[in-house]
Amino acid sequence: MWPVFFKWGHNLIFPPVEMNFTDNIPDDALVIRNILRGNINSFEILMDRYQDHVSRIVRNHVPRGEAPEVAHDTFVRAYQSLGGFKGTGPFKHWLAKIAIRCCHDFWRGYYQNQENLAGPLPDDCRDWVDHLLSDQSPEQDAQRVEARDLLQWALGQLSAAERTVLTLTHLNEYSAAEAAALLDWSVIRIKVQSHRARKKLRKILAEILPQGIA
Amino acid sequence: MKSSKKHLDKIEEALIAAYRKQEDIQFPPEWREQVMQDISSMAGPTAFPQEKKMWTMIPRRIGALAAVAVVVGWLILANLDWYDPWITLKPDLANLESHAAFWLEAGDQDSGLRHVKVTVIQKEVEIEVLSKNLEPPGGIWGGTGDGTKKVDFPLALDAQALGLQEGQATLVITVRDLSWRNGFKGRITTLKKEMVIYSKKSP
Repeated sequence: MWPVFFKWGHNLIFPPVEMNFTDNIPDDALVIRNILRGNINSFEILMDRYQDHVSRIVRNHVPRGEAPEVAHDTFVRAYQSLGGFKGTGPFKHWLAKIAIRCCHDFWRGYYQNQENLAGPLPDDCRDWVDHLLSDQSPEQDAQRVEARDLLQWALGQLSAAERTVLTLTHLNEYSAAEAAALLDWSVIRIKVQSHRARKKLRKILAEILPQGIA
Repeated sequence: MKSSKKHLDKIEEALIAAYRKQEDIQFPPEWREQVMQDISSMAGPTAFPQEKKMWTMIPRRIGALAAVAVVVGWLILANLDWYDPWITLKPDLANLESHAAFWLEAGDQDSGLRHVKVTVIQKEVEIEVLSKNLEPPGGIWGGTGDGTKKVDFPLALDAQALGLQEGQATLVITVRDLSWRNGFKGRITTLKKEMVIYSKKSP
């Protein structure tokens, strides 16, 4: 009896927003307002809309096997922080920020585990470098798994912050201002970190050049 | 060196190309249910602490600002006093013998005296006769009302010892108080006295 009464009272004070599906799909603000008023099923609408967006972001930042887990964390964290969403910018950008921070947190946790420190470069990757530098077409070689393995191995030598910034600015071509907005850092910090990270990456790659070239 | 740079550029270019050719990820079918399950377990009246925090933070901020304003206002009002310090010099002589003695009194009724300075100006040359620092140990931050309210002391002017010549001279007495007026320098009162210095002729 009492729970029913409370639910009735709650709905009287904060009535769930009636969403008009016939017109068109409801906008994000309306969906969020509805979730905040207790209709958690509306969160599925946001997941439908932004699952691909989030999966693209995490795919670009964490190993493929970890992407579903990081995307899961992103949506859970988004739900927890939904009350803090001010609606001054698009929800998509706000969610992207959370996704990037989840990826950054993933790497921070990853590097804290000593077992995850990068080991020696696999022979396949070394062969791939030799192959690339002898007049093979980079387009063909770029398809190869070894290239991605080599990149992951080299990125594994950087710190979590360097890795996140380099992935955003260099690999995904975000501007310093965009990366700064996503990470809530200053533009100067992004530029400095990005420059240092790239220099460090090139130094790591220089060490694996064949003897005659290096 | 150049060839090494060229090779590094080539590797970097190939790695970026490989990175950008990643295929989309297919999430496991149960992924969505797991997210919704986790969210459902968190749902409830305390699910959105941030929203609650926003409302509670506004009065807190206003309270903090009001407290700071009260403290700053109290400090300013307590240290901006309303009366200038005063000076009296006795006797009121217009002509000064080469040796003369005065009695100087100075005071401030609010914050108290900070500094007394006596100089003589003759032919655009300023000669310091006396400089007395009366600041309490903490200076202007030492608290209000701790300063010296009044000083009186004899002031002896020996024209010969001070290097003064016969003729026109101006005696300048400057007193500053401990208030925060004039950019923390305090209220200033200056007494200027035009005098003629002469040497007593022997009969």
